[in-house]
Amino acid sequence: MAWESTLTRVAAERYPRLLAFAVLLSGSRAGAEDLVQEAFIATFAARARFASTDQAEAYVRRAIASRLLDHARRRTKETEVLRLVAPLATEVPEPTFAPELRNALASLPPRVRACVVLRHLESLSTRETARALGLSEGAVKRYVSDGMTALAARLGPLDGASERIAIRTSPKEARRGR
Amino acid sequence: MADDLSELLESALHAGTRELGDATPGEGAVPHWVRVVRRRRVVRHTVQAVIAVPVAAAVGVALWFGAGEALREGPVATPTPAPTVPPPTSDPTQGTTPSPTPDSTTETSPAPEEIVVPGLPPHFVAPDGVLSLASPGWVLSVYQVGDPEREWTVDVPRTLFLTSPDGDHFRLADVSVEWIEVHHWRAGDARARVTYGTYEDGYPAGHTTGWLDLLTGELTADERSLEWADFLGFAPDGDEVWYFRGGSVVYLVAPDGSRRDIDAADAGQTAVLSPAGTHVAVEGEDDGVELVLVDLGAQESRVVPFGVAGRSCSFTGWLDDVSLLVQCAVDNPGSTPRYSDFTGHRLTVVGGPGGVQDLGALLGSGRVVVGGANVEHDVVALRYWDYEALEAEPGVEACAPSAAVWLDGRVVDVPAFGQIEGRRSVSSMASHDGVLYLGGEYGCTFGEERPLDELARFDAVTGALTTVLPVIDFGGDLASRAGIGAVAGWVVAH
Repeated sequence: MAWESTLTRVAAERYPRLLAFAVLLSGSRAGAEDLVQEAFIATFAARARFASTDQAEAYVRRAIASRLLDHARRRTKETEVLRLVAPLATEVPEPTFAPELRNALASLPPRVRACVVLRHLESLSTRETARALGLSEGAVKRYVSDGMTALAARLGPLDGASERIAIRTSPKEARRGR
Repeated sequence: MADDLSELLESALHAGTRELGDATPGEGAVPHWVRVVRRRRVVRHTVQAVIAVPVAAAVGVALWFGAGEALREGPVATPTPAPTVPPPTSDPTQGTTPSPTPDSTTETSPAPEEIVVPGLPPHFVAPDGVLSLASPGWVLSVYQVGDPEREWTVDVPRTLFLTSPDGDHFRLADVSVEWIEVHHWRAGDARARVTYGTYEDGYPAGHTTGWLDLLTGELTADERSLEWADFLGFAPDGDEVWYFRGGSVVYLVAPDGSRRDIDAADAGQTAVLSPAGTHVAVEGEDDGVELVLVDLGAQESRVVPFGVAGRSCSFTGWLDDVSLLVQCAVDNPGSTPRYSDFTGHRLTVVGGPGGVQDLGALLGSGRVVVGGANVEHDVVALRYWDYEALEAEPGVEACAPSAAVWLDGRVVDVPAFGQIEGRRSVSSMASHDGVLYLGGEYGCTFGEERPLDELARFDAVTGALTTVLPVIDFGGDLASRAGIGAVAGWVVAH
């Protein structure tokens, strides 16, 4: 069947890139492998049809970001328990690429991290990011703004980091923005 | 938007791809993914095909028992056929419904016929006035055909049901909506509190809080959205209590719709309302070390440190109006098993001097508690993973949390329920009037949120376990139903 060959081809040809993408989001190799596996299954179980390998890979990447948020949103403790076994079984070394950027991303809450990566690496629009992550567009704007500010504090000035968006600001957000 | 960050991220992705260039999914992983995907797609296709031609099969004639005394004795209105239900046959030999022995002291009303439609529980057409006859303990549920999670096409029907404590299902209205959650319903009311929305390209695209008319299926939106807030329960003054994880804010919503926000400081994801409705405990961002306690009366929050020296801890739920149940274990990173020596502790957080009280081994060896629901004073239902079983069968295939009830130091295991041996997951819990309700699903869902397969009621004191919402028989192999659920939402009437 077409979807099976597409899944197999994406896994064979794009796995390292998808894993690197997931490492940027999750912060660890073990967590990234979980996300990639779940994203493959969620993407192809959804009966989508893909015109190309590139398109399928793009959907898997979106699903990786969505899975990251699901882990944070739901059943966090279950996921932790599931991971108790996997790291011991695989024992793979942690990647070493871009340590400064990865540490800076890891300091962000998952929802903020996912929004920043989808907006600035995947070049999704605010609306597309909101749909992919199940957030409101206002929340996406807020999280991207917060994330850029936090990353700029750790990495130095970034284009767009000083932009503030006119949205409702809670006391917590005001504190975080300082 | 091309900017410094985009370039940094793109560069990091290239570097990571080079560094991980030899990485593969692992031996047998891709065929396993294909098998899982194939199973889900086949089951979904089967379900949708069956429902696309809703041929209703009438089963035998059942006398009118088990629907509650008022319904049994009162005049039963002439049933109004639901749009998708053809006239039932009257051949009792075709029936599968057992016919109970009539009560000789009761004059039997004309027997309504139980209706069987693929994808829905065997049910009766709701008689006029069924809402006013319902009392606390009845269950309101939303059934759906198939699973819209991550579906590109989600135009599957949603149907409302009322279920009596005796297990009779009454079909109410159909609802035209792509996804819906039911939060609360007061017995007798014509409306229930809900959140609902739409999907676009398989992703949630809209999120609205409002009210659902149970008789018409019409949805009415609030003027002010609560976004992705979770409904927690009621404050003593009747205000709704919600927690918005996206902003770590507790919302108090008055019956007139006005809202007060309480900042929960640096709170995390999991929030639990105390049985008295006076406080919300939220896990801290650094779970295992601290939690955030929100005082709804004073409308303020504070960080409460907790934990036991040398142990990894997490709180699981409220033991009573003032104290939380905390589980701790020794963490041995890099060892197998990683966690050992599980213990329970009472953490008093409201009033009094506070402190931590040792409660012993809690659920016993190797059970990792992942969620709790207060049932009564010092009675807590706990969902747990059998950590030792996980180690015996590593990987996601072993993901199936179970449940037990902790009664002031005594542990009562919830027996297996449902129609399929093994692989049952207890995915949600709630309590009403000292009785525990457990949502169950089958198979490993990789942590996805999806509809339930069944709902059961458990009385920990008597050990009685009763099916409330049964597994829907779609035909075929029930054991292959991972990823499919039928109950999109449920709530016990208060």
